[in-house]
Amino acid sequence: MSGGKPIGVMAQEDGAGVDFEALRAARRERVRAEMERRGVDVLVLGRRGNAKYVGGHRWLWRAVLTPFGPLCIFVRASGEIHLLGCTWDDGIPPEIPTERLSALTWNPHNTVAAIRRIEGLDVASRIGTDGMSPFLAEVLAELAPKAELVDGEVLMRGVRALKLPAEIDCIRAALAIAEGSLAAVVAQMRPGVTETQLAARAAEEMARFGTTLPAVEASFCSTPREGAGGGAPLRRRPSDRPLAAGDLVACSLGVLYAGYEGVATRSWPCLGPAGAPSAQQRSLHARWRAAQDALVARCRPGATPAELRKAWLDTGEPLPPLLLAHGVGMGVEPPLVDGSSRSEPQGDEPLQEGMVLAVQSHVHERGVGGYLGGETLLVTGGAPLRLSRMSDAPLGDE
Amino acid sequence: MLLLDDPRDGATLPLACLPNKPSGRMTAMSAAPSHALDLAHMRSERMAKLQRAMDRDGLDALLLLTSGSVLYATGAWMPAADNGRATHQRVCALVLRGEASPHLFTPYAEGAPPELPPEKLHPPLWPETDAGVEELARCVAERLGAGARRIAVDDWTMPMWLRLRKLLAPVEIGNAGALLGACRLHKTPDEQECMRRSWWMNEAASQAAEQALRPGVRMTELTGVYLRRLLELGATCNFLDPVFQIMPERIADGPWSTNGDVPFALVTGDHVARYGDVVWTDTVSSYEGYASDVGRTWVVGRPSAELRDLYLRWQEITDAVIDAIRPGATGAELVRIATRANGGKRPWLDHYFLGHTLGLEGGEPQRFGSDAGAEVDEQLVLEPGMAVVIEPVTWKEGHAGWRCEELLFVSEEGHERVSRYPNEPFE
Repeated sequence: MSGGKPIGVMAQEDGAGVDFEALRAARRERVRAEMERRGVDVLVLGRRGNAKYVGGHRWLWRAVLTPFGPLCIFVRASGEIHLLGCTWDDGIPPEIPTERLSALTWNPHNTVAAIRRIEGLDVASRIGTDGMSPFLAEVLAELAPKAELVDGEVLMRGVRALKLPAEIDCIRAALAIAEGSLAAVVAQMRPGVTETQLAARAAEEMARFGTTLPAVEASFCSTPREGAGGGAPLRRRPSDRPLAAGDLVACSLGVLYAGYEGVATRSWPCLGPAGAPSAQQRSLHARWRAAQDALVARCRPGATPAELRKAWLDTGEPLPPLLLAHGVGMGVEPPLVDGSSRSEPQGDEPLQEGMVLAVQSHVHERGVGGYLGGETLLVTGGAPLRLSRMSDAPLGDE
Repeated sequence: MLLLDDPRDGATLPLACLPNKPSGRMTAMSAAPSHALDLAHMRSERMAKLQRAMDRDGLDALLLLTSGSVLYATGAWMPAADNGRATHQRVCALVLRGEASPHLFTPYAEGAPPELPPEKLHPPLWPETDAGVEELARCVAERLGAGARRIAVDDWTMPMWLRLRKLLAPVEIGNAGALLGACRLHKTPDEQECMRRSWWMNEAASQAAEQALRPGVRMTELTGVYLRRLLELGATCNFLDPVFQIMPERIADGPWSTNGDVPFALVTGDHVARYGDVVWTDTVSSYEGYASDVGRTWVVGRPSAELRDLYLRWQEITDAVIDAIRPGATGAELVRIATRANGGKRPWLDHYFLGHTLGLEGGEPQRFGSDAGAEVDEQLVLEPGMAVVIEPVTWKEGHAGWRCEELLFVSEEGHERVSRYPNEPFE
C-alpha cells in the first residue's frame, strides 16, 4: 500500500497500472456488505461521488449543486446497478448491460417509468438514499410501499472512508497531475503577471495531461501583508491585480483522476530577475512547516477531529478559515476539521488506518504575508505516509 | 485594449480583444461590454422579486442550498468545484420575509457581496449530517421569530428529510423550486448584460479553440486553449467540462444509445483530429453566475458539399425560428416552424430539445421540443425578459451534421440576438 509505484497515462499498451474493473468490483462488494449489515435492500444515489463509487461510470462534469435527483440505483439481492440519465454507453463500464441504462429525460413520467423497471423495489423493506425530493418520496411510496427510508449518505460515507490500494494509486495519479500542473504554472510566475492569468494557465497545464476536470478551480492569490482584525487574512479568489516582486503567492490546484481528487497547495514568492526569497519569507515558511508537521504528526489512528483542531491550536497559531483536515477520495469526505467553525458539526469520528486525509494550513506575519500549504496523507498504523511529493523549495528544503 | 468595468471591486478589467464583426473569416471576436452594469442594483432587484414572491405565497423564509438559488438570492462568489467537493463545502442562504438582504452561510467569507451587512455573514452550515441539521434548525428557528408559519427549501439532504420538519415544527416546510424558477425566468437589464458578457467571452474563447483546431490536435488540448482564454477574458468561472466531440459520420459509428439518435454530448477525450473531421462543441461559462451556452460546429480542413448543404438547411431553420421569437409566441409554434423548415422532420436531438431558457448556471426548466410533450410546449409562452437558446440540428447519415446554439432575449418589440459566432467556413 505504501509502495508508490510510478503512475502512467496509458501511453503504452500494458495500461494504466490500475485494474479498474477489479476496483469497481471491490467497491461494490464493500457497499453490498455494508447494505447487508444495515439491512438496506436498495440504495438510491444522487451524490456524484457516491454514484461514481458504485457505478464507476463517466458523465459530463458540471460545477453546480442542483436539487437532488437519482443517478444510480443499486439492488443488493441481485447486484444490479441501474444508471439514470445515461442515453449512451460511452463511459459506461462493460459489466453494466445497456438494458439498465435510462436516457436523459425532462418528463417526470419517464423518470417514474425508469425506476418502475427496477426489479426488487416492490419487496424492499429498507431503502437508503443520499438525498431526497418530494417527487422521489412520492415515487418510492408508490413503487416501494413497504420500504422504510434511511440515510444512504451516512452508509456510503462509512464505506468510502477506508481506501483500497487501487484507490490510493488513483489519488497518487491525481496528485501527480496536480503537482505537475502547479509546477508548470509557478514557473511562469513573475512580476506583472496577474492572478487570473495564472489561473488561466493552470487550466491549460492540466489539459496537457489529458485531464480537464478540476477538483476545484485553481487559485493563485497574492497574500495580504496586513492582517485584518484578529484573524489571518486569506484570499482564495484570484483577481486581476498584477503580482509584484516580493509578493508571497498562495497557490492551489486540484484535479480529478478516475473520480479521485488530488490537490496541490503551496505558496511561492514572486521573484523578479535574479531575485531571491527574503529572510522573513523563509522564516514564515519555517513557522508554517513546524505547525503543519505538528498537525500531520497527530494524524494517526484514533485521533479525533477535535484532537486535530487542538493539535493546531497547541502550535500557538490562530485557526485559519479553511478545512484544516478532510478525508480525500471522490471529492471531500468526512472527517472534516473546519477552521471557520468552533466545533465539529460533521461528527467527531476518530481516524482509522487506511483513510486518506488532506491537511492544509495557513500562517501569517504582518508585513510579510501568508503561507498556505497542504499535503495529502495516508493514515497508517504508525506515522502518516505523505502521498504529496511537492518540495518546499524555494523557501524550504528541496 | 478595451476596458471592461470590473464590478467586483470597481477596478477595470483589461480585455485584449479586437472589435466585433458579426461575421467574417475568423475575425477575433469581441467580449467587450455594450451596456452599463450595476451588480449591487441587480442583486437588490432580485431580492425585491424574491420578497414579492414570498409575500404572495405567504412564506416567512426561504432556506436555499443549491448553488443556483444561492447565487440568485445572495450573489455570493464560491469557487467552481466538483459536486463531490461542493456537497461538503456548501454555501447556503436564508432569506427572511421583510428583510432587504439575505443571511449567507459560507466557507468563503471573501465571496460575500460588498453591500452585505457584516451581521448577515455566517460560518458554513453542514446539512449532510444529523448534528449539522440540528445546528441548521437552530440557525433558522432563532431568526424566524415566533409568528412564523411557513418556509420553503430548494433541496433536501437526507438528514434534513428525516429530521428538519420535526425540529422546526409547527412551522411548515414547502418547496422553493417553483418560486425561484419564476423569479429567475425574466431577466432585468443588469442580468441581461451579465448574460451578454458571459456569452461573448465564451464565443471569444471558443474561437481561440477553433483557431487551434487542426489535424493532430487532441480534443483535450482544445479544452486547455478554451479555458485559458475564457479566464483571461474575465469569465467568473467555467460550469461545464467543455465538449469538443469529433462526430461520427454515421450514427452507428458512435456509441450505442437508448434512442438511436446522434450521440452528443459525450465527455471530451484524447481523440485526435484528422482532416475532414466535423467537431461539435458545447460549453457553459459564467459571468457573475450567468451562463453562456455556446455550441458550434467546426470543420477540420475543407467541408464536403454535403456538409455545406447541411449547414445551409440549418441556417434556414435557425433563421425561421429566430424570426418567430417575440412576446406571445409559444414553444409549440417554434417547434412547428422548425419542423416545417426541415421538410416535416424534427431538426433537433431526440434526447434534448429545440430550445430552452437560460439563466444562472445553465439551462432553465423551460424547454420546447423535449420529451415532456406537446402540452408543455403549448404552455410555454414567450414574454419580454426571457432568454431563449435554440439549438437546431441537421444530419445526414454518412456525412455527419450541423448543430449550433443561438441566444436571444425576448424584447417588447420582438427579440435581441446576442449570439454572433460566424459559421466558418461558409460566412
